[in-house]
Amino acid sequence: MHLLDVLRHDPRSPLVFTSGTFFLFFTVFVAVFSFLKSARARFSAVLLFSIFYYYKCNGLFVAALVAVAIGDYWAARLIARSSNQRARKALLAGSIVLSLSLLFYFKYANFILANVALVSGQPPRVLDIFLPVGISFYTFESISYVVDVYRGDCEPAETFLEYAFFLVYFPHSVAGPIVRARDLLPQIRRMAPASPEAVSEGLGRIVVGLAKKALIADYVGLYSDLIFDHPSNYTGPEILLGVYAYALQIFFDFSGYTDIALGISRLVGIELCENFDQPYRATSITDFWRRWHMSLSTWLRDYIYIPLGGNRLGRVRQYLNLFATMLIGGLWHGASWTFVIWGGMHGAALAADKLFGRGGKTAPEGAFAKPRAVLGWFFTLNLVVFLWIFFRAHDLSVVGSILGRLGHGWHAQGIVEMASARRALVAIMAIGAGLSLAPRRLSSTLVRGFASAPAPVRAGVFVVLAQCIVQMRGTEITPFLYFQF
Amino acid sequence: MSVAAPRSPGRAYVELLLTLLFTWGALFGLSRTHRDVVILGVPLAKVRFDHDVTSANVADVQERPLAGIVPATPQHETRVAAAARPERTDAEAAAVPVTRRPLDRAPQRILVFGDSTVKALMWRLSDYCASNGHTMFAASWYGSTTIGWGVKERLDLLIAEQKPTFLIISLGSSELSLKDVSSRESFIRSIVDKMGARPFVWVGPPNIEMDTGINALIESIVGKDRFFRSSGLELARYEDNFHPTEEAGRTWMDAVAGWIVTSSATPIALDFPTKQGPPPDRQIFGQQL
Repeated sequence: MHLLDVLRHDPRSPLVFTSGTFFLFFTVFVAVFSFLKSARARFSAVLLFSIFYYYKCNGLFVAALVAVAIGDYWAARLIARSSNQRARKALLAGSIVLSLSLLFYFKYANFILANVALVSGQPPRVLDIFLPVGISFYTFESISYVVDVYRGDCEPAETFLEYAFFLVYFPHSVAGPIVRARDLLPQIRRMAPASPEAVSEGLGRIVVGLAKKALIADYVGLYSDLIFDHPSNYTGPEILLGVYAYALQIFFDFSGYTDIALGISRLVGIELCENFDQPYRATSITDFWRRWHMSLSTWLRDYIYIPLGGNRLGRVRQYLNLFATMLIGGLWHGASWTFVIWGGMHGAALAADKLFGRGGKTAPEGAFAKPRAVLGWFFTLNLVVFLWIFFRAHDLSVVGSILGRLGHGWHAQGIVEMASARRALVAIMAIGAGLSLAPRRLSSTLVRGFASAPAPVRAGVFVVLAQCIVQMRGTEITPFLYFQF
Repeated sequence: MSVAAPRSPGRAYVELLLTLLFTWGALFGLSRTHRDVVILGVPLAKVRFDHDVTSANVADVQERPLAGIVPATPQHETRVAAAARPERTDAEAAAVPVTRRPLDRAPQRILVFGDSTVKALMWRLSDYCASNGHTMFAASWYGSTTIGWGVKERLDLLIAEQKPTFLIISLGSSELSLKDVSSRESFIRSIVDKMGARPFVWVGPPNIEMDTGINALIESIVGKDRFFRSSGLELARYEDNFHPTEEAGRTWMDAVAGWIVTSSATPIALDFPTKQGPPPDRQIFGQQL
């Protein structure tokens, strides 16, 4: 393979953080970055690498991001300067429409056409559209930036390159976390070098993320793929195991990605926001959304739920707002009715929690608080796992097939044979379940332990993990699940 | 906890860079490590750090344990009765081997090996062996794939122990829905290499739906006269909707036996059984980690 082929965009080979290609480019990047003394040089190096990374993931569709960046940059500057409220509103609306129109075209055009065809009875027309990786994430980031400038919560970027850096910054550009400009722009302006502690802990965070992704998520994902691809071939116990395997896969995949992203960003000297707080320990669905994909849930709260009226317009309106917000959140994940239903059911569950639950308190209080917390945890966990079926299924027929097969083949001998034939899978799932339910401090303890170890030990751990990734990977590179959103 | 971090950011970055470079070097070195561990002249293990070996070790994810403890439904029974020889296209019929050996009536030592579908074939094969003077040994590795049999030494050991004169492979069920079938080519070739010059037939997986190419790939490597395509058979399944029932297994083996006699490159005596065979000598392998 020629060097130019390595540098060129290849849609079959996304530049995921666990791939050897990324590792190679990152080594070169670190080699250059290590010797840069000035903030301006570091800024330029990171910006160039980010653009290259985004190009490797999307090819020439980097142009869509540039278009959004140009539109946002000028809209925000003009909004900040203008005292004419109508003009400010028009600029805000124009910027949002630009961002959303690109998102709708790339992500939802075929979905809309398919549903129009379904309603009209015409044969569906499918457009050959490439979905740029990360477009859902940067669309939300761009909207929040312009809205924050409009609200006066954020100073506009001083230069276009500064804003472009915010959008395209490689640790978060393709799969989040959904960062806010008010958090990132000040750090971009300073571009201070990372402290020695940050470098060590950043590497530790990367190690933890790689382990989550490569050793747990990808492995259990092989099994859940089998189940969800051909559910009618499997018995109820196998399907149930597959559904729980997917619940572990999506958590370890996405939180592992986030760990790597935050770790890499720490190496560069920029702190990104946390995205997970042991969500499977949640004791209510409200609590779950305070722990799962926190950057998305807070975004939905700040830019959809509260503008819709939040809880200020009465209880019924609050429930409707929750439902509508989660419907949009579901649709944001993908152009499919399964995502819409998934979001809608989460919205309904949130409304029910507000109606019958603890009114948003994270843990039960008063008599029998502990047993109620355990009961709440059990119910919440299984509700979330059940709803993952809709999230993972290709279409509603798969959901039907999964649910239809769940009741079949519940025989003790079959379950014993299944567990004995899949000992490694069961063991890894048990470890995964233990880790996902462990207190949050376990992860930070591991990171600090890694950071405080002597350099040769850290290098050794890194080698062992990298070798595990080489040996455990499937025949195809498994992209992070949230790349598709 | 005291963090033993380097004193300056510059030194921290240098350490980070050295860690990355060291990792690259170590991965390169490991990828070239192919060592036999021999103690006192006794070979204990082969040390290799490559992707194929681990893929074989973690293949349990794809395993399909035989959970067939539920009798077939009446509808299944009807389907068994309707099962027929696999349909051959004109092109396939025209491809009947030109190098076909004459029917060998000598007693054979038959080794049938593969995934859990071996269990469906072995009982009826035992009947054939008892009626035709053959002996047999069945090795069923639940849910195994061509990777496992191609990479691991299990087949070498079985051949060394059983000294078969004829081999039947029933493998590929777990690879029906592969996205990248071509990735299995080297493993299929490895299995064929392990069998050396011994006569064999490969019984294709009993499809329950259109496969993504594993049948065609195996057939292209072993040849049409060594590959029995099972995908045309209507076989009753256990409640897992996958494994053929015991009765369907008999029908399946009848079809395979007829094909070996009439159409395979290396026909052996497999006259229709006149008596029931003993429980087959067998070894069932579970998961390998």
